[in-house]
Amino acid sequence: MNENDFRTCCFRNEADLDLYLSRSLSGEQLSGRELHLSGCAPCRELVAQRQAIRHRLRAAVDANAPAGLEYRIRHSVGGSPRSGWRTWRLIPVAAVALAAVLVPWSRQHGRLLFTAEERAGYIDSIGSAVSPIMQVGLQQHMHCAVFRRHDEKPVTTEDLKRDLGPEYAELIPAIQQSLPRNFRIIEAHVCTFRSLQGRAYTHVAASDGTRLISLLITNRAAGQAFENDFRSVAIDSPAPIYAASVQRFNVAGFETRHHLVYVVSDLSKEQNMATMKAMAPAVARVVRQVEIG
Amino acid sequence: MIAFPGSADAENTRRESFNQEAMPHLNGLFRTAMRLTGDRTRAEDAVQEAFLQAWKSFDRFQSGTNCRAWLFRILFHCVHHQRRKWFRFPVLKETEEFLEANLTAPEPIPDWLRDEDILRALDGIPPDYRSVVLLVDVEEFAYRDAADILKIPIGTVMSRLSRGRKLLREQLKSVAAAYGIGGGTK
Repeated sequence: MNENDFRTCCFRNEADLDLYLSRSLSGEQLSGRELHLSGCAPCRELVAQRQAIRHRLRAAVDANAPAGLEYRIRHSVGGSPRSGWRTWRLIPVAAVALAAVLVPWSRQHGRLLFTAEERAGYIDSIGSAVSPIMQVGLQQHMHCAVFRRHDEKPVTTEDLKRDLGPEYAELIPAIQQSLPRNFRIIEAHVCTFRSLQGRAYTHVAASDGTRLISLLITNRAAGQAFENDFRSVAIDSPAPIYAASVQRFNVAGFETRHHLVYVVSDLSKEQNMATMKAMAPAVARVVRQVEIG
Repeated sequence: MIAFPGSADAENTRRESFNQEAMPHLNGLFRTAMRLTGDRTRAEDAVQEAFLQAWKSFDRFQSGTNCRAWLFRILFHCVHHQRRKWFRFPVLKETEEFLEANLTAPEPIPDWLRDEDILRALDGIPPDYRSVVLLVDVEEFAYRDAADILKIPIGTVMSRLSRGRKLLREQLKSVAAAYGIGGGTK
């Protein structure tokens, strides 16, 4: 295809083509262009190429605002968070105000400006909007990923495997392959959260520089089961997956015989679920091996 | 219940109305601010300031009109104000010309170009053109709304969009060429 092909083209010039691409022609003009395109392969190719650029551009630019930003905006508008934020327990107003302003700032600058009590209050307030079994994953994500300072230096796969320990080391490559584009693992360790009776977690955290994802594995207490509180939202996976949302956080979880597994993030609901579904087969296999072993 | 102006109920009603009308547009404003400022902190600051200003002037906003365009207008004002604060010298404007160039043969974008390559290309075009490309191609505003947001004539929107798209295509070619593939074309 060469320049000559376009001399007899329906589109007179770039501006005319731009108007078509932006759907800014009149109905009659648009119909005329569509009719021409149906019989003109060079023009169709040109339009397809220009539209492809727009699609790639939209996909590349697409981003969600950080969770803390929405909170700060709602708080600066005034009033306590309510309707649409579900249950809100009574916590000191000062702690909430402080949390709204300083959580994103402290994450960004790596300094924990909160007292432990203020952090716990904020985590409690978020967790109270979901069921107890979802709190188990969500609150640990808040405690250990959202509030924690993360080293900026990239870590090697071998370091991550070593940090995670031999039982779950083989999860690292599987998680790396399951992460959304532009995310990399930033932490892998075993951690605890005092508020949840010293419960221990195997925790892998990933980030794209703006958003955070946590994979969390913890023991399942007697009587704990997602199906007690939920209907599963995904059954095309090794185990039924359950989901919950609060503010900009999305939680997906499944259970094995003795463990609960969570993916928590500030991705969209769909992206969070897609990430869980991608990780679930490998995670379920390794967790069951641990249970047998 | 009757909400008297100035009463707590009136305030709550106003806040609920603002949350319903304005908050759904948060992501669109944030991603635009990111591309305008090139910096996450400044983008968050600009968006937060935009929402605060919108809240303060919400009484003047007519429900049912284009809230999204109104918010974007405020955002661009905030970003412009931020630029003047951060940069001592005004940003030089490129000479604008209405592009009536002949059509050029299509040059496909290589599939292997990553999102960050696309973004680098976008960030490489001057802000005035980048703004129009963001509003029309990404946020899909009509020309008239984009003109209103940027406070420029519709004709200027059209010319900047043409030039911005052309510059973007050239930047993408450069990015592809930098990978060692000739001209980014097959």
